[in-house]
Amino acid sequence: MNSQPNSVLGGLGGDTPQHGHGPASNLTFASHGGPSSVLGPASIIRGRSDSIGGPGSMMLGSQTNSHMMSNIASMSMSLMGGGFTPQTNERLGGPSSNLNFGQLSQANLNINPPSVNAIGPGSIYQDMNPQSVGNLAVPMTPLNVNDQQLFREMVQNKQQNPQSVMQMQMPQTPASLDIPSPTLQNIVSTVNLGVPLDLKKIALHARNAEYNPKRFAAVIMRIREPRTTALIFSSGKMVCTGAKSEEASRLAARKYARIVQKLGFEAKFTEFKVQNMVGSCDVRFPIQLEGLCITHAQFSTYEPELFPGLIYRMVKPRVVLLIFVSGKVVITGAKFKKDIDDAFSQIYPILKGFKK
Amino acid sequence: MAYQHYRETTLGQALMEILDEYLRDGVITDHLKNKTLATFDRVISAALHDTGKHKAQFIGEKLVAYRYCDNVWSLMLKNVTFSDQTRTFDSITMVDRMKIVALDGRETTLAARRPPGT
Repeated sequence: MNSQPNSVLGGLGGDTPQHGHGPASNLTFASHGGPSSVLGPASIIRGRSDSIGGPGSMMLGSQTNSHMMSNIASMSMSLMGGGFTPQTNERLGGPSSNLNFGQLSQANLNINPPSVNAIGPGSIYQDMNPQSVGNLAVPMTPLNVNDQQLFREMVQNKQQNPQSVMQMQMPQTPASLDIPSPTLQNIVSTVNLGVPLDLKKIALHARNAEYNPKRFAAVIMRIREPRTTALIFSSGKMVCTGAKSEEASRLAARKYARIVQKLGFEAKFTEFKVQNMVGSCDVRFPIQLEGLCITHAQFSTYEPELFPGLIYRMVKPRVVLLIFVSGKVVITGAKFKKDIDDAFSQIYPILKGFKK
Repeated sequence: MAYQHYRETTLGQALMEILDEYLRDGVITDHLKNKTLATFDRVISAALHDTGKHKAQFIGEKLVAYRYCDNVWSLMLKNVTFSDQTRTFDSITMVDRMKIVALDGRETTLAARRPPGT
């Protein structure tokens, strides 16, 4: 479909994104034509022949449509760009590629399995991400669930046998051995106490309460353990903010409900729901935001004059990430902890590709 | 109308005591007593603001509780230390608990409190 000759050239240069047929396709990646070029031509050729013999033919067997063809084309190119060695291919080619077939046959989410398989982290991360953006029919964040699994497997593999890591890795990779994980910073939850409340009475009798109806029509109450703040409305609804975990948020909300009960209201604890979770993480390397914004233009907003961070709206999971030059990342908009973890494991390889 | 919280000070309590005594003895009327107290409320606030130049410091170990309702802040402090730079001896005083009641003394707020026509 889109395997134009020039894109192959791009692939050889380590700039696989060029072959893509999505919004990213018209972009050039010269600025970060990464470590793949470090490898000599020999390894590139080996990589290619090996990959076509292996997973490529399997894919043809399982599903033959033009869509798949384009995948294979892009795959082999990414392999060339990635320039990994046959060992890695053999090792990871089996089960992981099966995963991807399943995914591909279900939905047209064009992940490029080989590029994931081929992870010699520095170069491949760079290659696969813009590429899979290019392949997407639906706007999707470059990596998807399967990729994440692979990514995690990969991390595990690395931890299990450091020797193969050494084989796979490019010189700059040692830092990837300890991938940081996001920590929860804030949780916002709501509860319905199910009874109308006299806020003045609450403000006058409860400790640590603020009530200024001219400013805001709710009592603002705080407790020390878990350190949280609640907004209590006269309708009986309550918002609890500031907890660091879902359980803590629930416990805090229960405590507030109990305080309200003790003041003589028939408060119940119903409809508890986490509305938002915020996590943060430090990837511990500076990030080149301009490059990221250009290659992921669909998802990114970067206006340094308005806000110093890049706003990355991920589609799956549906969260928003604030990415800063310093390497600090804030993930928000999630309803579950898993969303934050998934989002981070998706963005991390992308960020690695835009290391300064 | 000025705040009446300075009536609870030593000075205010002494004034109230003597006014009550006069009232009992029939020296003054109830009206005059109220008028005097209202003047006190107004004047003490202005006097503290304009002539009170002496400064002391206090530090609480912990803010036990706070409340803000009806434009009044109430703060409960634990283990408060008062220190007075101008006095070298017995300048440090400790209290277990201190309650701070803070009222909005800004002209705009006071004007809003004042009944129309006064």
